[in-house]
Parts: sequence; structure tokens; C-alpha cells
Amino acid sequence: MDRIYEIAKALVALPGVSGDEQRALPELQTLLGGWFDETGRTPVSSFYGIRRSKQPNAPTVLLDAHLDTVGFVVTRICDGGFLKVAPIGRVAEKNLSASEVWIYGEQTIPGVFASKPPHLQAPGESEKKLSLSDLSIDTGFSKEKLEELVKVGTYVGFKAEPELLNERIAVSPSFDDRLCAAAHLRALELLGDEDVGVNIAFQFSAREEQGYKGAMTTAYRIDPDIAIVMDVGHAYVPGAPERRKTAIAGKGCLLSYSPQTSRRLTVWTEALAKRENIPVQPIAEPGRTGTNSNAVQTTRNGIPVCLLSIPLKNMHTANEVADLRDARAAADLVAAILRNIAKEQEGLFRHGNSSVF
Amino acid sequence: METAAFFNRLKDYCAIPGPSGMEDAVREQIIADISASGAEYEVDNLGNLIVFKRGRNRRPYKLLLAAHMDEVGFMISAVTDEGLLCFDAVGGIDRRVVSGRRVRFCKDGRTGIVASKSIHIQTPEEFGKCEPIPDMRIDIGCADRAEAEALVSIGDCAVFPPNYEEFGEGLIKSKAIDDRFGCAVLVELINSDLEYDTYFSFNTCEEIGCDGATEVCHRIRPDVAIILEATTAGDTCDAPEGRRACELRKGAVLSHMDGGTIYDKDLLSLALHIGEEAHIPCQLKNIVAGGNEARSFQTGASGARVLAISAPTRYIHSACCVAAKEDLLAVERLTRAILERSIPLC
Amino acid sequence: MLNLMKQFTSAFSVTGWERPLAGLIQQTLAPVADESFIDPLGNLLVLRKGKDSSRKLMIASHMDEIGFVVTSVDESGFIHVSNVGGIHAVASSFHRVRFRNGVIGVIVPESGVKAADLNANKLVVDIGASDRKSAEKRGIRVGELCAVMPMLQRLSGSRYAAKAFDDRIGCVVSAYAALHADTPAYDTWFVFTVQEEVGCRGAKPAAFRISPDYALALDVTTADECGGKAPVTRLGDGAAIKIKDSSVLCAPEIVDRLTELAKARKVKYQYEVLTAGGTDTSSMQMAGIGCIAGCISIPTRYIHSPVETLDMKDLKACADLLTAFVEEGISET
Repeated sequence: MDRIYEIAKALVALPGVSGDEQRALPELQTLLGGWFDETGRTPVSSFYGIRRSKQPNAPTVLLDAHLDTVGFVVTRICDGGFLKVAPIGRVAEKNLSASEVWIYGEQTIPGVFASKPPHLQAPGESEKKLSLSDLSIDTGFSKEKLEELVKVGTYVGFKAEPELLNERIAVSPSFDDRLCAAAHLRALELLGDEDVGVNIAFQFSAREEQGYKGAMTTAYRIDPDIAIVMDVGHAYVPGAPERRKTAIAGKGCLLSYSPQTSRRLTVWTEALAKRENIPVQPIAEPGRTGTNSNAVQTTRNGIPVCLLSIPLKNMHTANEVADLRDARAAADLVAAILRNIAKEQEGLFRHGNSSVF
Repeated sequence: METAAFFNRLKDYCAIPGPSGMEDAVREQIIADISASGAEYEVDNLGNLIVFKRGRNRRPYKLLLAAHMDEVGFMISAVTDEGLLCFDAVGGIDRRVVSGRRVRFCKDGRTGIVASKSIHIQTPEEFGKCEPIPDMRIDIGCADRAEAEALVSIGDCAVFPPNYEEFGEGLIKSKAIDDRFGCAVLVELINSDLEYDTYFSFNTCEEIGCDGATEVCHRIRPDVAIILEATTAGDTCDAPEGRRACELRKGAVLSHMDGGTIYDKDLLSLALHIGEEAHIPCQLKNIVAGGNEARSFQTGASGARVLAISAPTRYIHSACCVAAKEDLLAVERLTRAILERSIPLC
Repeated sequence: MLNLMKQFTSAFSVTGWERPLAGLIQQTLAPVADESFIDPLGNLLVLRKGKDSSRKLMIASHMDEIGFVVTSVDESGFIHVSNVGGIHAVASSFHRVRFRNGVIGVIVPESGVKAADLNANKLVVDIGASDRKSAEKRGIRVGELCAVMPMLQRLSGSRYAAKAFDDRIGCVVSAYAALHADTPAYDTWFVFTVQEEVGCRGAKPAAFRISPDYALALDVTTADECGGKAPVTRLGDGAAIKIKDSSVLCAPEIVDRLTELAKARKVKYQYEVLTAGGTDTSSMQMAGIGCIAGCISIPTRYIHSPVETLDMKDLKACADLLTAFVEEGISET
């Protein structure tokens, strides 16, 4: 089995809807504790691990992917054992009818979003816009029993059932952003025991889907010299605007040009990818990237960020689709950056004539 | 101050291509221009330029003057089969100042035209309306994709072409007066003898969210930050009186409040007082709109007291900003007068 | 508590000029403060030292209320304004307003403006001046601030209506806990923040300065109103423990601990899930290395109107719950 897919499978099975990330931390510690010299959690529930170099004054490179997923939170427990929920992050309501979820209460219990069968619908009803307040989750319990297991504020996520469509195409909920975390971890595996002259910090940030708070606070704590942020990006699908044709699934890892990332670092990374024959697709993001990049870059005195993305279809649904060749390209590129940045950092970091600062 | 030299420098600064995230050329010029001043400087990890100039006396707190180096511009997002370029705006630009205009590429100075369907061939529904920027295309004269891809890469940037010119009675028109004028004023001050120690910062990425200011604030932790900016003047003949924000030829603009900041009331009173004493024309903004780097300095780190001194500028974020020379000079004089004071902190 | 309510809701404290209320609160808390100061933005920070000085708790409630800023005065003496914070233009119309210097006027829509088109920029204040000069003589000029006249009205039972319960009532709860709690578990900073109504601006630098381990905001939240479909909270159902609003997902550690304390001390409580809104909680959660942050909300009807309405029983519950958290902190497990 593809190694990145194997790691991703373990990660998507973990809970951790935005707001409820602390639920995943004990298992994460077990899964990843052995990979790092030091691990920990932050007040906002990010997980981090640090591998130190033996070189004195080695710079620190931060690898960021976000731990949290989109999902729902319970707002009301209704008669008949139904739950009303509010969205956490941007979720596509049009796909929810009859889809399966996991409810993270006192125990984790399965549930189904109710759907109205065609027989009972008014003509034209299925064409109308569906709102989350029109939907409810069926738990199969009585209201009384349900109230013992679940309360207002309980979090709900998509049921995790990762699957391979063929040897390169995988589908699962939460590939945003756990597939990227898997790619980062694979990059560390590729380095083996090699001391590349940089301290490597991996942050699995919380609250990305709600204000990037985990990324900014964890980066603040770690205080790295540069950061590689990895998130998913939109793969071109027929009907999408012309400019999205620069992100084709299977053609490689996306590399973002944006004022919210460091152009110097990005240009250097693109040249590195070309030298090492790693398939990379440059994309332009002149406005918001919608990722942890900006939060990390503007933390402390400023941390130069390079943003890599894995092209993804059906983002924020139960069936996100990715091409594993792109994930492998991302992992190879992160490993290449880690191997080369220490000796080539000249000009990427600060300079001046001052002793004052 | 030598006014002819000041406006010459402003002309040079306005001409340099420097959209958000690509301020290197602007910064290099500024560093060259302050090299004989004796000031110390540092370029940080994101390209912000931070300068410290010693004065005759120590200042018992940190005062920082800030301006931003970046201008609004465009970024290429894709190449089409026909050899045209898809693009989007860097910073906030009204589609109506983009359609049918010329742009100048930063990398090699190449000119492109923003293609616009002539009205003769528009459909009735399209007629007279301006399409959104993602639907526009830049034409660099290529016949097909291959020809275009040889010249341009995804992520390349372009800006409006340089066009500085004095016109009318004491007015200037140019792209990027916002905020190269602020940079020019700071350079003047750095090159003079100052009464008190002062920090200066030339920030990156203001147009996309005041990012540079956030980073500099954390680094320097000023107690007081004064921002020099160009601010929108709505004083054309069609604009209703009372809703113009500010006007040309009425002096340096001070403000109580805009969309991003409620300014420190004591600093504002002090500035108005100093302006009056020194006979420097000042005006108060009369609508709550816009925003600048003050927001980042005020709420960054443990907070700072902030003030903005702005030049009233028409047609901001377009190929042709218009400002009055006398207003730019008023901003310089007011800033200098404030710098000479040891501002009491309560 | 009623006395604090009266005093706090009658102070002038519009976003950007919170000094009058800051002074009043600083005075009120002087007997219990180990340290107290006002920071460069105007936030008031009051410290009560705790048993464990290695940890810090920050409690935030905002002093500022929404109001109006003068943008121009026309030749006829009419005062044009813009909003400071989220003004409900229709709700504010045809009320008396009070300026920073005490001058009283009435705020009305410009003639001919339909209710559906009304916003704060189309409101005008009439102080009875006959021209611009006489308005300026009374101290009204560009940049001046005004807000709806203070009002505190007892309704039936334990319910009250007032203007600016948002967030004077949070300040009341915080001040009450500061005055009456036993020795706090940790060093506790009672912070009365500025400029919340324009984007939670004051809390962020204050949190950066303090760098707390735990943080709690005290603010109002929407309650059951006539015609509303799914009320977020209900008046009389107790202190609302916030799960989320649109700016923040509260730390589950705080939600669980508040639930535990409420049960232990027999304080009535309910949960709050808000899909809109924003509070200082978010600013505190993301300052510096971040902290474990949550919020206790006071259920309130008609927020941002001159007649915000609440139940004293809920207010007392919030005060008891906050006091419990201050005294006992996060349990060690």
C-alpha cells in the first residue's frame, strides 16, 4: 500500500472537528510520539513535535498542516432521537441528505442525516436550496437515552471510510488536511536518520477552519526561521473557471505565488523542484489563500512561508478525492527543501548594517 | 527641505514597479537614498525595511513613523490557448479602472493591454457594464499559448505604467502616489538632523492586509506609531458636499476614526494644535471610511498609541492618482514639527 | 449588584472614549486590587493575586457601547453622524442622545428616508441649534461622540430593561466577582476592555501583555424573543456557557469545567451555540502562544437596541459561576 495513504488512513480515523481537537491528542501522541525528540500540545489544542539537529545554531523549519476538520455541533436534542446541528467551517449542505456521521459524545456513536424520500416531496423541492436548519441527524436512540450520551455542544464529523478507487486515486473525508499531514510525515520518513542541519518542527494545528488560531499560536511558541505550510487546493473540474486549469489532479504538488507567502522562498523552491524533477504546478493566489499561510507569516517578527497544496476534488464533503502522485510529489518536495535549505539559506533571511535591532 | 528634489524623488519612487509581495526594487532605491544619512537599518525576513536614526537627544519612549512600499497591481493566474493571460488584482482595484487599460510587467517591463470587448460587439445584456476582473484577459500580443508561456509565468506581476506628471495649478498625477509619497517623506526626514531618536519603517504588503506593519510592530514594539498615507479625497464636481471625506488644497488630513482604527484622541489634539501653531493647513476627514497600517500598530503586541497623517488623493488605486503639491508639503511639515516635539505620554 | 448596574449603565463610554467608565471601575475595585493600571489603548487591568502565581487567568468584559460619531455639522445646525459599532438604525431612531460633554439632542432619520433604506449615515442629530456656529458653541464638532440616553427600567419580577447592558452587565459580573470572590486560584486579571464593538480590538493587546493560561470573556448573547424560531438561550434558564460564536470555538476544557462547577454549586446553566456574533474570547485565545479560552454569556433580548432586556436571576447565576471559576480554577486531573 502507498505509504502516504497508509499514514493518512490512520489520521483520518481520528476525531478532531474544529473546536474538539483535544479529543485526538492522546491517540496522536501514541501514533507520533516516537517520531520526534519532543512532543507537546498547545493551549488551543494543536499537536507539535520537534526533531533537533546536532548542529549548533541550526535554523528551525516549521512544517504545518491542520489537524481540524469541518463538521457540525449539536444545537438541540429533539424528540424521536434526532439532533439539530450548526455547521463548523464551510460545509456543503447540498450533499448531506442521507449521509453518515460520527457523533463524538460520551461515546462515539453513528448517525445519519435524515432525508426526505422522493415519494413525499413536493414537485421541484429537490431543486431548492437546502439549509442545515432543514436537516436533522437520526441517531436511532430515544430522546432520553440520547440525552445521556450527547449534549448541546457535542461535535459531529463525517464517518471516516477511506478507500482507493485505483492504485493512485483515493477518497475519504478529512483529506483536508490530514492527507497533507501524512505527506509532511512521509517527508520525515524519507530523511531517515539523516541530520540535515536544521531543526524540524511539525505542527498539526487546531482551529484552521475557524480563524487559523492554532497555526498562529503554535508558530508563536515554536518561533521558527521559515515555514512550509501544506493544505489542500482545488483541483480543476469541468465547469470551473479557466484560471483553475493550472491545478490538475495528478500533475503534481501545487506551489502558490501570493503576497501572503514569501516570494523569495517560493522562487527558490520552484527552482529546487525543477532540479530534482519533482512535478510542481505553480498557481497564483493574489488574494487570500484561505490557509494557515498568512497566520504563520505574520506571527512574531514575520516568518517566511512557502505554501504547498495537494489538488483535491469535492473539498469539505464526505468524499474528498486526491491523486496520490500529487501527495508523493509534496512529500518529496518537503524532503528536498529540508535537505537543501541549511546550505542555501543565504539571502532568504534578514540582513542590514545595524547593531540596534 | 528642497522641494524640487523632493518631487523628483517622488517621481522616481512612483515609477518603480512594486506590487504587494514584490517590493524589492523600491526598497533597494530607498536604502541607496539613505546611505549617507548615518542611520542604521535592517531588512527583515519578509522584506520590511526598518531604520533607526539617532537624534540630538534620546527619546524616553519609542516613536515609529511608517509608510508602505507596496502598490496595488495584478498577478497572472493562467495562460489561455489563444495566448491571452488570466489575472486577478493584488489589493483592492475597481474593475472599471482596469478594463481596457495598459499594464507594465515587473519582470521585464513588457506592456500588456487589458482586452475589453468593444461596445459594438457586446450583447444587449452586457452593454455598458464592466465585466469582473477574473473574466478579463491581458493581451501581450501573442498568437497562442506556446508563445505566451515562453514570455510569462504563473505568478508574474504587473502594475499600471509609470506616468508621473505635474499638471493644472500645482497638482500631480501618477500611479502609486499611495504610498510612495509617504516613503519619500520618510526618506527626507531620515536624511535630516533630528531632534530626537526616531524609528522608521517602510512596510510590505499593506494593500493586502497591513501584513508588514503587523510584523514590524512585533519587532520594534513602538509606544507611538504615526502612519503616513495617501487617503481618498472624493472632491469631484459630482460628489455631494459633506460626503467627500477630504479635499485637495485643504492641507494634511487628520482623522478621528476610519474603518480600521479609532485614533488616539490626545495625539490627534496635539497634531491639530501643532498644525495651528505652525500655520500648517490641516483638515479633518468627514466620513468614516478606509483604513491603514494604524490598525496593525494599535492592536499589535501590547498595543501602541496611533495617529495617521495623510495626503488627500483623488482616484486612489487607479492608474492616475491626483494630489496637490501643497498638501504633500503640508504633510511633510506637520510630521517634521511633531517629530521635533517630545510628545508627553500620560 | 443592582447598584453596580445603575452606575455602570449610566456612565458615558462610547467605543473610543471609555475613560469615564474606566475611571469609575478603577475606583470601585480599588479596595481589592493588588495592582491596577490603564494601558496605552485605555483598557483597565486590575490584578487580584491568587494562591498559584505561576498561572494566570484573564477575565474580559468590554466597557464600550455602540454609538455615533459626528462627521459634519451643516449650516442649519443639523449634526450628521456615522455609526460607531453595529448600530441598529431603525431601533435608534427617535431617541434622545447624549454627547460626551453632556449636551442632549434627538436622533432622527433624514426626511423622506424609508425604513428599509435606513442606515446610520442617514441619521441626523438635532440639538435645537439654529446654525453651525451655535452648534459649535455648544462643543459639537467633527469627531465628537454621542449615544442613546442612559435608561434602566425595572420590568416584572426580576427582569430589567436598559441601554448598554451590552456589555456593562459583563463589567458588573466581573466587578462583582473581583469584589466578592475568596482568594483566587491563580493570579487573576480582571480586564475591562475597549473597542470591542468595532472588532474586539482592545482585548488582543491586553491579552498579549498578560499572556494568560486561561481566559474567560463575559458578554451578552441573544435570548428568546417573540417570533424567533430557535432561541439561542432563554431568559431565566441561567448562565449561558458558550460553546461557540462565529469568532471562536471555546475550549472544551472550559465548557466542561464550567458545567462541573455549575452542578457543584447548584447554579442554573444552559449552553449557547451562536452562528453569528463575536466576542473578546477570540482575541484572547489567539494572543501570543494562545490560551485556553471560553465565555460566560448573559442571556439578553433586543441586543444593540436602547431596550436590552435580561433577568437578574441569570445575572446572579453568571456572577456565581464566574466566582466559582475564579476561586477554583481548572481542576487537576
